[in-house]
Amino acid sequence: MKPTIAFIIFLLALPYSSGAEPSSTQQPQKGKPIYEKLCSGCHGVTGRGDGPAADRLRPRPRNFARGQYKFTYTKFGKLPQDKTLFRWISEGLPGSSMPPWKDVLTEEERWDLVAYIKTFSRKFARAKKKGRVPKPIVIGTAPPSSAEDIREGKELFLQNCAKCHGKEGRGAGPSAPTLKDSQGDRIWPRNLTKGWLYRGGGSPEDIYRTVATGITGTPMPEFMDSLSPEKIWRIVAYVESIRQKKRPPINDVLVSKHMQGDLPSNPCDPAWQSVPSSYIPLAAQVIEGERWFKTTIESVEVRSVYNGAEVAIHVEWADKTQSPLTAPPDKFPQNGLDALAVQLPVKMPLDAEKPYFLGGSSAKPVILWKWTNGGRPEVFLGKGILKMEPLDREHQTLRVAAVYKAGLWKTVFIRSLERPAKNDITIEAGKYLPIAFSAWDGNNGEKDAQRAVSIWYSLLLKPPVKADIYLWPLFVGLLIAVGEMALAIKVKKEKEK
Amino acid sequence: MTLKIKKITVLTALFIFCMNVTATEAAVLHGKISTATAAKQATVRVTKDMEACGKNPIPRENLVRSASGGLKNVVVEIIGAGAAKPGTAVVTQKGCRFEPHVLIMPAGSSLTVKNGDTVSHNFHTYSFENDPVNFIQPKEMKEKKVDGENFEVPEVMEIKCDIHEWMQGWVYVTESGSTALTDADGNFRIENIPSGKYRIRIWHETLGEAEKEINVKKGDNAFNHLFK
Repeated sequence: MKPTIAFIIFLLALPYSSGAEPSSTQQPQKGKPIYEKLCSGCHGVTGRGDGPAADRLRPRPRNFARGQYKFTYTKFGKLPQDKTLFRWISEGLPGSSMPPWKDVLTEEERWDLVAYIKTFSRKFARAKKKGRVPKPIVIGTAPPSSAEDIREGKELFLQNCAKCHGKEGRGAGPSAPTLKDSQGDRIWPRNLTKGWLYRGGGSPEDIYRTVATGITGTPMPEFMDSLSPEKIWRIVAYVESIRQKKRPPINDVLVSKHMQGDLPSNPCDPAWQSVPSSYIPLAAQVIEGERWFKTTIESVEVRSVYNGAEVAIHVEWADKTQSPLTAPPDKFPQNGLDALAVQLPVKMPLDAEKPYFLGGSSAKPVILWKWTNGGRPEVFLGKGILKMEPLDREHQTLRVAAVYKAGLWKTVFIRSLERPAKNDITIEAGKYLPIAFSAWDGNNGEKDAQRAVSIWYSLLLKPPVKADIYLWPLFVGLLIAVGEMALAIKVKKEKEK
Repeated sequence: MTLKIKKITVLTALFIFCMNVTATEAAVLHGKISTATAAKQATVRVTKDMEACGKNPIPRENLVRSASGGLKNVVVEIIGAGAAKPGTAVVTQKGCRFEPHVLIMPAGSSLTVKNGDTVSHNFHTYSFENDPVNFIQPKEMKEKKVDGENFEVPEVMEIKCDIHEWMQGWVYVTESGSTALTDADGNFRIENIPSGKYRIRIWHETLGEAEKEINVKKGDNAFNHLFK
């Protein structure tokens, strides 16, 4: 074999890498001050993942003393290569609080950090003593996938992955509620349809790696010795096919379309599919009352239509469990109530200043339409997130329908445009009405102030296009035509004279 | 010819005699581990894969007490009495439970994990000192051998199939060559212990562990323990 060909084969056989190679001058003592300044706030001075901010982060920061790393190119449970640690320090971990450091620290500083982090666990020293070096897996590059591969991938997915990730890949499988990580903290299977949130990166090679090696310290098992590489690539192809790669764009204005006749009150009515949706990100409520840092509901999708009398708001969101469950397993950790609330101001704001987005205030209260799984819809007057007074029956022209299926809640809120009582809001077409959302995942222990919230958006009931706006130009056109004709006739007559 | 046969007979007799001598010089420890605590729940609640897992009731094995108070699945370990030789241990996932529920394994042994079910399981060791293991075991994969490198340090590790949350078992990795697991009535028997003073460890997954001093003498020794 010619040396060049041999070299090319050697290159092809090389495992996937980020391209970076450890510097030969890695110095843990130089990494220490950098670590203490930039990393210890989350990971703790002793590396046990117990820094001052740790309790507020989900997932929790890594405990370096355990020597267990989630995303590695080595078998489940095995120590990572230095360049893997270097990659995550440089690039950060999407969907977690770990930021990329490549613009902050030089390459050398990052390698020194790698060396220092390794001193926290005795496992690295033990491996060195035994002469063990991390053995990276071989990934190669993603083969082209046919429709048949995707179909086979789906079959394998249903057999081996769906118990946790759900048949539709939204992480709502029957085993989802009982999963815990190796530290005993609850952990959720990924919603694979939201591709921009993959922690270990979203390239086909990243997905292959995660499936092949599993995620150390979590219930996600390794597949590399259980399924052939071809089969793993088919699973990757299937996952790629259900994965939305980019986060949807965010619009400040939710447009409600006018329609004739009855509004679709069934959340699964196919009429809703033709209504454009708005993606609204939610965040954990970390400001008021009992603060909350570990929400599971990432966003809601909102659609709206209205007619002469009522407005309908369709809210859809991914929730991995329908809670309360009717038959919870033995180790079911929480069994609270799923809920969703739509928040509006009591009065249309006259200036740019809206009520406080977290439940309003005494000066500027809000109206809250709240749906709770299994209960009646309720209407509250909010003077703060913890000061919610239920309003009497005359306010309750609100109707809510909800359906849970395959990891998705779909709800429709319908209310009269006209205010049902004096201290309530009349919804007018053509005006930008502030609107906000709150969501509770009962199975995650969320209730009261502990919830996911959005900021204010605007709901715009787009006025119907009246037929006369088409008639007027026609009429004017006709008038001009008649006028011109009259003028022409008149000119002609004058010429004849 | 006859002389030769005679010689062999004599040698054999001598050998058997010697065997007996060493057997009587080594000590035997036996006894009963019991508890006053009653089990709360006899079976687990099966919520999925009813076809494979739901046909027969699955016992809840974290505390199994007999009518006479005997406690099943307690590990009795004599610390420092001879080193255990690494070998191959076997655990089977069948009927959506682990068999055995508690496995005593000499450090450095490899572990063969079997799947006797018609569904996929995962096999996950929740270890800390040893590198944890977690692999998917599709129904087609009847057997997989896990390298002894993952069981080289003495450690008690929980094993789970995370897919079926009720599936729980234990692997007790030990360096001691003198260990036993109690039977359904809490009885155990350890043979061939060189006589001497030892520490004895009694471990149970729910009731915890205890350590005591014992003096093992030639012949029969009794040891009983009550978990409160």
